[in-house]
Amino acid sequence: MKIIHLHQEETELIKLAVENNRQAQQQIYSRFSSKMLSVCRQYIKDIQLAEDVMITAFMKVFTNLNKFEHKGSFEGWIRRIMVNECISYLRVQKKVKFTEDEIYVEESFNAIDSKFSIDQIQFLIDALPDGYKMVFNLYAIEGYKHNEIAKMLGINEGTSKSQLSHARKMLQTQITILKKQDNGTE
Amino acid sequence: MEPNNFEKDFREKLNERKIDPSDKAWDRLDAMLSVAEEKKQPKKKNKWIYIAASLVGFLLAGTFFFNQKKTIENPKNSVVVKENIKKDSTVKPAFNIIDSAKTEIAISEKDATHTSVKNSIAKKIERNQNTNQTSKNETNQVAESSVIIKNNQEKQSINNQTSVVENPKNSTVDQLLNSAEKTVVAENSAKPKSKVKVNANDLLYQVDGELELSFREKVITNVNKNYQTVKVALANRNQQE
Repeated sequence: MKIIHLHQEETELIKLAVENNRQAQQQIYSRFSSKMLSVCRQYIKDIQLAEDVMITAFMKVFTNLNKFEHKGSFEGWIRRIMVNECISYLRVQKKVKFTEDEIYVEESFNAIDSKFSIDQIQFLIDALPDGYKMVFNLYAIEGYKHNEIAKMLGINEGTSKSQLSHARKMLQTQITILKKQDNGTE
Repeated sequence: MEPNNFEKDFREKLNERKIDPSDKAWDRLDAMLSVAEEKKQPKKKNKWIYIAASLVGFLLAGTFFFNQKKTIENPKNSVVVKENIKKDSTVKPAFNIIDSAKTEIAISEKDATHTSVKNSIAKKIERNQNTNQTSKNETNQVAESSVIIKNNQEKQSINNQTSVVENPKNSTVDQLLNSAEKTVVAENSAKPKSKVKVNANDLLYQVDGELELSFREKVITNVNKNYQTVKVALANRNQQE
C-alpha cells in the first residue's frame, strides 16, 4: 500500500514538474540529487565537475520529463540520463579515445572476499584510465551488456570486452596491493 | 565463470552511496530552468497575439462591410428624389413649347385659380417627395420602386395639367374656364388615389415583416434592394443623358 501511495505521489509530482512547477521540480531534485551525484562521481574524479555534469543532466531530465512514459522506474530513467551525460562529458570534454584492440582473455579471477570501504572502492575506480573506467562502470555497476555499451560508446563489442578485461586486471592488481597494505597495518 | 565478488561488493556499496551536492547546485539549476522557460514563453504569447489580432481583424472587416451597405442605401434615396424634381423642371418647358396652341391670357384672368392650382400642385409634389423620402428611409425597395413608378405617372399627369394651365395662349375665356375646371376636377380625382396608394400602414406592415426576417432572408432582401436601387439609378442616369 505504501509503495502504491509513493508511486501515485511520484506520478503526481512528475505531472506538476512537466508543467514547470518549480516546487515539484525541486522536490524531484532533492529526492534524487545525492544519489545521482554519487553516480556521476563514479565516472568523474573531480567532485565539482561531477556536480556540473549532474546539473546539466538534471536540466535534460526536466526538459524531457514529458517523454517519460511511466513504464520503468523513474529513478532508473534519471540514472540513465546521468550516465549518458557523464559518458558524453568524458568523450567530448576529455576526448577519451578507445584503442580498438579486440584481444582479450576471459580470465577467471580469484575470488576476493575482502570488503572495502566506499572510499577505497572509489579510489580504485578513480585509478583506472577513463576508457576502462567507463566500460567497467557500465558493465559491472550499471549492469549494461557489451552490445549496449558498444552502442553507447560507439565502439565495437570486442573493444568493450577487451576494455573490461583490462580494467578487471588492473583492479585485481590494485586490490592485491591494497590488501597487502591492509594486512601490513593490521 | 567465478563471479567477481569484489565487483558485487563494489556495486552494492556504490549504489548505496549518496553524495550531497552543494547548496549552490540547486540555485544554478533553478536559474537554468528559468532561462529555458523564458525562451519558451514568448512563443506562446506570440501565438495568442496572432489569434487576438486575427479576431480583431475579422470584427473590423465585418463592421466595415455592414456599414458600407448602409451608406450605399442612403445616397440612393436622395438621388431618386432629386431626379424626380429635375424631371418636373425639365419636362415643363417642353410641354410649354408643344402646347403653345392654348391661350396665355388666362394667366392674368385666372390668377386666382392659377395660384391656387399651382399651390396645390406644389404642395402635392412636396407631399409626394416627403412620402417618398419617409418611405425610402423607412424601408424596402419593392415599395420604393412601385412608388417611383407611381410618382412618374403622377408627374406626367401633373405636367400635363400644368402645361394645360400654363399655356392657355390662344384659347377663349370659356375654354380657359373649362380647362381650369377640368384640371381642378382631374387633380381632385387623381391625387387622393395616389395618397391611398402610398399607404403608411402598408409601409409599416412591410417594415414589421422585415424585422422578423432571419439573417439569410435579410441578406437576400438587402441584395435585392441594392440591385433594384442600382438598376433604377442607372435607368435614371440613362434618361438624363
